[in-house]
Order: sequence, then structure tokens, then C-alpha cells
Amino acid sequence: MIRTALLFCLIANGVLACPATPDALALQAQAEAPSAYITMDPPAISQPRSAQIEFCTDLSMADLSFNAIMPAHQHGMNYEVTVEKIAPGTFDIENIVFHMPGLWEIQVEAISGSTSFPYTAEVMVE
Amino acid sequence: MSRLFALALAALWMLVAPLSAEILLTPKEITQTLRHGPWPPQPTIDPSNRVSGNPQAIALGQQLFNDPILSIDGTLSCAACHDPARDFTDGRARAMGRDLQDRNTLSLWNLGRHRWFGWAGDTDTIWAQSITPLLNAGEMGHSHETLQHALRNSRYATEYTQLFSDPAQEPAQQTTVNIAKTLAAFQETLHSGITSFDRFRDALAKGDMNHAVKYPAAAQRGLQIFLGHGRCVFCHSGPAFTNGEFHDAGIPYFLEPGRVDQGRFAALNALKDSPYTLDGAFTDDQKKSGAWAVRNVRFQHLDFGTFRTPSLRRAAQTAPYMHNGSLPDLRAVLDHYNAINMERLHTDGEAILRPLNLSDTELSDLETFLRTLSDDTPGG
Repeated sequence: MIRTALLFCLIANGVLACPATPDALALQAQAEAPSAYITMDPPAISQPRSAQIEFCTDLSMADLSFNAIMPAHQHGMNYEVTVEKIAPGTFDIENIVFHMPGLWEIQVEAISGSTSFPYTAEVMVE
Repeated sequence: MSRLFALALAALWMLVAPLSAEILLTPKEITQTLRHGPWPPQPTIDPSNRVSGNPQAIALGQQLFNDPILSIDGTLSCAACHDPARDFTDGRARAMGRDLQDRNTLSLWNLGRHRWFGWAGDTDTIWAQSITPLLNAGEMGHSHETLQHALRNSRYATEYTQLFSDPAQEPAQQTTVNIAKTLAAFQETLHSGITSFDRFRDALAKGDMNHAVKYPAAAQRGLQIFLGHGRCVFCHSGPAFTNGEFHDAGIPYFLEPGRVDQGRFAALNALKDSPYTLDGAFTDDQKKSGAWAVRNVRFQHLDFGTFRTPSLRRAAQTAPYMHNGSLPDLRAVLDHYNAINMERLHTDGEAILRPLNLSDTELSDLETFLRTLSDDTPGG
């Protein structure tokens, strides 16, 4: 009883807020898309990095695709990432390799039922 | 009068001297410069090679590297092309094994940090890369069986058995892999040394400007071009001055009528079929760490005719340049990028290169900078 009350208070006060990581970067989307955030290792040139993407919604996200391109250079990544759903609304992405310094655009597409939600975010790799 | 003149001259020098030796880099350029070090990197052991770092294997690998028994007719050693006296290159445009090869001989410095090997990256370990020339008919020309026979009848048989097992009791293919692993153990020890660029970079890192100002102004201006409008740093990044990936540098890939060097495109197909990868049966690493790259590498049409970005460390010592050795010296390389023929680049490829239009002075500064990446004593 006390535990339930404490949990209610935590939620009511936003302690268990979404995103779980305060410095997570908000993914940009169209207005009707649920909020989504990415938490990523500091990018390092040509080194594999991991990230977590978290959706702040009651919608169940069944699948997610992840890509990144350098708009100024017209090329993408040289490696496929590995995506794993690790919790409802949370995906782990491994083997993200930015092989050049500069501005990269992350492109995410989340699938919920028959609906697809595209997102983007910009990452500066130095 | 003459004393007054001397005093005036001394006062003038004191005014001018700080201006003639100063740090030209902006704070942003200093931050960028720091990313090209520290050097040398910490030595690492290759978990896919059970004899990596083993002194006995290193010694055996060095002896085999210099011994022509590794060629089918006993006429060529690895050192015939990778000549230690020439920075492990041969000075030729295209390598000459038993036949003329399609590509320039790459140097062997600092291999331990690479993800891919060779100009096109058809291997992902030094030992796998070492197998290629052993079995290539136009290079060393051995088969697994002839190589095993040569080893069993050589003065190295006992030492090999101590490191691995009796070669008479194992499949010939395993002997080839083990020989390559001793060659790799030796090649892992080949490190370039600390250059004047590294001393400059380290002084900047420590805030020791008295030491940093000793780096020539021309080299600093060249470094600024390298980091800035020269756009070199997009591919030549990090402490080894390479991103380790593959690009179209605008060098023709036609070898002769009807024959092209497909570069990375063909290498990816070879990699997919190779048993000698970090994901294959011959790795000694049960965890298969590092195998993510060969599992996840993308097959892309734009890889056609692309080649690996070479390191720039000791590059000034390894002319001629580019995958086909078509550019005879550093200035020719800079001239190539300065007036690059855009029609030679993929029309649907990456848009990194464009004519730099640098002046003669800027080209000279850039070359001066590049030479400060090669003024080290290897291993020092």
C-alpha cells in the first residue's frame, strides 16, 4: 500500500518522467508523432557507438529502423546498425559508425500497428 | 655609433622575434589538432591471433618475412616488395611479384589499429591479409600444400612446432594460417615514431607554447589548410590520419582495355566468401570480438572503384602514391586534389572532393605540413 502510494507520488511529480535520461536529445517529428528521445555515446570518428531511443507514449512501437547520412556529402553509413527492442517503447541501437567529421542527420522510423512515424536529429561529429 | 646601431638592432629583433615565431592556429584549430594524437598509441594484442605479442612468434615471423621459401620458386620474400630499407615499400608504381600486380605496394607501419587491410579491405586482420600474397599466383604463388612442404623442410620446422603443432599432423590450410599469424605478429611491431607534428601537438595539449612555437610557421599554415579549406581531414582523421574507410579519390580505375580495378566493391564480395575473417573458423578469439564489422558492413554500389584512405604517417617516405602508384611524389598528389577532374568521380557518389584552387605558396605550406608527419625515427 505504501509502495503503491510512493510510486504514484513519483509519477505525479515527474520523477519517473520520460525520457529517463535528462540529457537525452529530442528527436524531431511531425506534430502528431509521439515524443521520442535519443541517448547516445559521444560520437567518435570511425568507432562503433551505441544509442538508446525511448518513446514517451502509450502506443506500442513494434519495430524501428535507424540510419544516418551526411547531407553535405551525400553519403550514409558504411555499416548496418543492430536494433533490439529492450523494453516497451525503448530500443537499443548498436554499431553506429560515423566515419567522417561534420554534421550527420539521424533518420529514425518507428512502426506502431499500421502507422509509421519518421523522426530526425542532427549530430555534430568532431 | 656602431654600438648604438647594435643596440637598436637588438631591440628591433626583440620586437620582431615574437612575431616570427608564434602559434598561428585559432582555438578551434588547436582543438582539431589535438584530435590527431596522442602518438604513439598504446600497443594492443590481436585476440584473433594466438601468437600476437609472442616474442618467439615475432622472431619467427621476421625470419619468414625475409626468407624466399615463402614463394613457390624460392625467389621472392615478403621483403622483396615490402623492403625494410624503403619503409616496407618497393618504390615502384605497381608491385612486381612473379607478375606485375594491379596496385601500389602499401607500407606496413602501424597496422595494428586498422579495421580493414590492403587497398580495398578484402581482409579484416593482418594475418588474413598476409595469406593473400602467399597464395596469389602472381605474387608468392604457393598452394597450401606446397607451403606446408616448404616449411616442413626448412630450418623453421622445429620452432613452428613449438609455437603451434607438428605441421605434418595438421591440414595444410592450417599451416598457411599459422605462418600468416607469425608474419602478423612481426608486422604488428612496426610502429612509426614521434614526429615534429606530434611534439607540436603534445606541446599544445600541455599549454607549453614556448615549445609549440618551434613548429615552423609554414607547417602551421599547411595544417590550417589541412583542417580547413583543404578538406583533407574529412578522410585523413585521427591520430593515424586515416578514417580507415573507402573513397573515390578521382584516380582512374581502368587497368587496361576491358579490365577495371573494382576496388572495395570486389573486396566486399571476397570478404563475404572468405573463411579468414574475424567471423570465421580460423580466428583464435572465441568471443569473435571485432566481427561486427564484417557482419554489418554494407554492400553499396558506390563502393565501386573506391580504395582505403591511407595513413599519412611516414607517407613522405613511401612514394609513389595512390592505389595504382600513378602519382610520383607528394606535390603531384596535392596538384591532383588541387585541380581534381570532377568527371572522374562517381556522379551518384559522395560529394567531398572539389578543386581546391590553392596557390603555389599554399601547396608548398601543405606539403611542408605533410612532411612533418614523416620526420620521425620509426620505433622511436
